Amino acid sequence: MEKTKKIDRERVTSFLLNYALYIILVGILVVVVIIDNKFLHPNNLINILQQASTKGILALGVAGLIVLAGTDLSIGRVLGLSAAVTASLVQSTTYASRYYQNMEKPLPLIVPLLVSIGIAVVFALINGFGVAFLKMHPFIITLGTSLIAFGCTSLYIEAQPSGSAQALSSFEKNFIDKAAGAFRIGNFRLPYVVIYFLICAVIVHIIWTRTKLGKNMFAVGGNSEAAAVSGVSVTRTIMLVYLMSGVLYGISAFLEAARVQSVGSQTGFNYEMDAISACVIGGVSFNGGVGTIIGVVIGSIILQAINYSLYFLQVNAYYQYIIRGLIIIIAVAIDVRKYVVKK
Amino acid sequence: MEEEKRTRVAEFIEEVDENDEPVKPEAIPLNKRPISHKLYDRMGLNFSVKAINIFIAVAVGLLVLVLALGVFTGSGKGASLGACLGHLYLI
Repeated sequence: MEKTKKIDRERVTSFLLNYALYIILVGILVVVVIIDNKFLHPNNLINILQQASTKGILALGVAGLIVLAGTDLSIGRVLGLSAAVTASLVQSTTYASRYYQNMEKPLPLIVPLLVSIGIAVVFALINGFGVAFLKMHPFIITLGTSLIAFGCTSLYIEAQPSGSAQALSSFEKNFIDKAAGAFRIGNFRLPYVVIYFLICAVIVHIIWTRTKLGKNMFAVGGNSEAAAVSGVSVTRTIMLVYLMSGVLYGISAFLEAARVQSVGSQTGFNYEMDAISACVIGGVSFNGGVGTIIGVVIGSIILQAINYSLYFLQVNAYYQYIIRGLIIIIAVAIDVRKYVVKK
Repeated sequence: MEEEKRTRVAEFIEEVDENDEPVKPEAIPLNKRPISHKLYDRMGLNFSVKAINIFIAVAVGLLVLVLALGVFTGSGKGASLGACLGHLYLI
């Protein structure tokens, strides 16, 4: 009898510890609703989804790298560079201080999108090459590329023909409509960016679960030596996962430029923290080999909901940093606990 | 140094093997406490899990505290609620 009680207590403790973060996060949202029930207004919920979408696409990209037991600290700055170049290519042709003065007709939107993806892919492949072939630690190489990307962004923005170092703005209407527009049915509004996010999530989910690359990725993340012995090309898998992350960063940068409508050298600052946090909250293990796309999507939305609710309650910005830091630490500690218990 | 470490571990494992049941951490003399977590794991002591449990509990407590402080000292509706609670406490 006593033994059963002990086992039950252990189970409850284990449940509380494993789900501590979700319990707190749901608790925060409940408290916010109690304090101010306007939080549940559909417009607020749509705003949360919209803000979660671009960072969610980044999270989809970095999730693959975390499954490989790596990480990427260059996300935010690479997004900033891609977004800056995108912004310069989609500026209105009637805007006198536009970046490309010779451009008299707006470019088809596919061009800036491909350029944005191209830039992000180049940086992602440099990171991938360093990790896969030179056996560099992902933390260090991505830190280096992050600084390079930031330098490039600042130089690019400073090189405006007008001589100004102001943020790039005044975009083509077509760009804003397509990338940051919304479906409207009566009063209901669903931003396109949410749909793009869901499409990306479905595609990445299929790659993760239904393709050889996905299976190899989990094998390499779980145990790279065992994977190599089983005939998996570890370097090829790492490069392909980095390539995939680059494509997603590029798409996210294109959409982010449209969402913020003003791209400066500080665009993308700290986005890597939100993307990595979303993955960790969503159950992607930093020990590698574990994670789901549904978890990443839910993690992105929960994280954004918490950020939004803290703004909504007008919590001091410095407290917000501390709260976000603690959330990340708890998420990682819970992940480590699961790993140790399993071992 | 390495040799000494190895001898200590070997002695320790020998001692553990003599017992039928896993040794509790408290039962191990301080000077013979395991050298690495691996040894702990081999003995099934789960030292790491306990340490992480305490860490998570402390971090969760801290998060709740900072959240409460943030909400009540902010400039939104939470602040007026905080002021109200403070007032009640003073009464």
